[in-house]
Amino acid sequence: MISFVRAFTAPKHDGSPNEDRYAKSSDGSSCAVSDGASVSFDSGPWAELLVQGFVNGESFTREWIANTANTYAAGYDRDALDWMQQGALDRGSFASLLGVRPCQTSNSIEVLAIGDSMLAIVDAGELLHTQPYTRPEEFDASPQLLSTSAAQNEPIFQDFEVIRPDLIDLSPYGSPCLLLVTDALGHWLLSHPKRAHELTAKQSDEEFQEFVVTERHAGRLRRDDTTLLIMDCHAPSNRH
Amino acid sequence: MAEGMATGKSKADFVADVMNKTIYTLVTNCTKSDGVRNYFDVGIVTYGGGGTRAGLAGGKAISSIVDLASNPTRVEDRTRHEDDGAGGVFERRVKFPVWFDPTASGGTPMCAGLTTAAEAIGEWCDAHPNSYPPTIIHVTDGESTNGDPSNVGNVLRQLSTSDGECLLFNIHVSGDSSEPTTFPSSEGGLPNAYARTLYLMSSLMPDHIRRLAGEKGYAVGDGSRGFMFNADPRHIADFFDIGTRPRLTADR
Repeated sequence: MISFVRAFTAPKHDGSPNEDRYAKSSDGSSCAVSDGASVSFDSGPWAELLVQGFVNGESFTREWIANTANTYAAGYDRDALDWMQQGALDRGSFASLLGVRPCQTSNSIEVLAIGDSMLAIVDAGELLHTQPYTRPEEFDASPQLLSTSAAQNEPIFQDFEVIRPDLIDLSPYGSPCLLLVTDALGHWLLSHPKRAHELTAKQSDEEFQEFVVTERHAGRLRRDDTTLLIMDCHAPSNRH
Repeated sequence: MAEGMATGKSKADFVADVMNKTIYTLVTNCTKSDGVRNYFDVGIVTYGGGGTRAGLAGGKAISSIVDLASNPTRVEDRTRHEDDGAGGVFERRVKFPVWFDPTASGGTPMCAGLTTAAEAIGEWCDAHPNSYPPTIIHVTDGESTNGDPSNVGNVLRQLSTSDGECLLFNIHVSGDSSEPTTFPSSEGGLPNAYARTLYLMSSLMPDHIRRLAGEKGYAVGDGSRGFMFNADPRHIADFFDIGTRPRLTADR
């Protein structure tokens, strides 16, 4: 059984809007993070719709994305916008999505990952698995993100009408901790894998903010909105 | 610039259209729900039979993207066809700003035009010594009427900030029916001396620009230069998109 433990987020700059979002289901067993892209009209609300959709158990079909994009667009009066805002709204808003939930039939988890937010599995302080990336330089490519513009999502739905989650078997791990992180922290983690235990140890907002400030100042953490969500894993009750 | 292209449009119409769409894209890329962010400065120099002009009407050669956004000459209502993401298209009414109207008045004083650009960019580099260096995208019909532009091209490429030298990219809009060429790595296949001169004036594409071009499906290699000859509008739009993204944005 996996469950939410705690989450922290820090904006790119003090006082600037933070376009990262995270959410957990009411029982804490499903969690998601989303990084709203800077080159967007208004990516925070789009990221919020995506994480809420995931923790509410939605299937990420082409149709669900299109309907959710309509919900997003209904929040703006397009005809009343000036030309530059109208153009930016039409171009779209973009966000990553990383969602984790338990698989009902086994000691596995379902992982839905679009874009450059990253899942890390840390066991006994050791970084043992990451996805979708395994090398820091993979963060240098432009990722495919979920967009409010249907045309921008076409590559995602080339083969299937639904985004299929991956399954990860947690049986090989002893007492794993799951970290859901947005790209700046994913890049940091893959660049400094031996420091993974520092993230699992974060207990308070103050500790997290201090870590972010220190690592940015040292040039090790990219200046971007930064989010960490921690889940832990307990042995299922039928495995006594 | 008055003569027609294979598409039936005049070269002047085509270039004005490309410039308006490029500025529109740059501005909307910097626009969020709370306004336009001042991510870029943009310089505009035009040249033709009427001489050389820096900036838009009454403006400076280089202005902020916010100033540019605030000063189109007019905003038109247009209809655009858009991909619906499910194999179809739909019509959408859009407000489209216009900064440039096509003009073709004879003469291509390229050396004077590039010299005006070099003066403005030199001042900008002095004032912004630690910024990403300017990228110059020069759109021309290639037939300079006031001498060989190679030397002033060299000067432009040598202007620099602490982050590197300026990049000079050239788009040769020709009226002839020669095969289009995108990001070549040799002058071998180019059809005339004007095209070869512009190719040799063009900067080698740095890694991040090559990577962006590769992601858009262009065949690029170590020796590829930022040059297009007779490219169609889609390729030219791609060129502007690739060339106007600074390294940090490209890396994100």
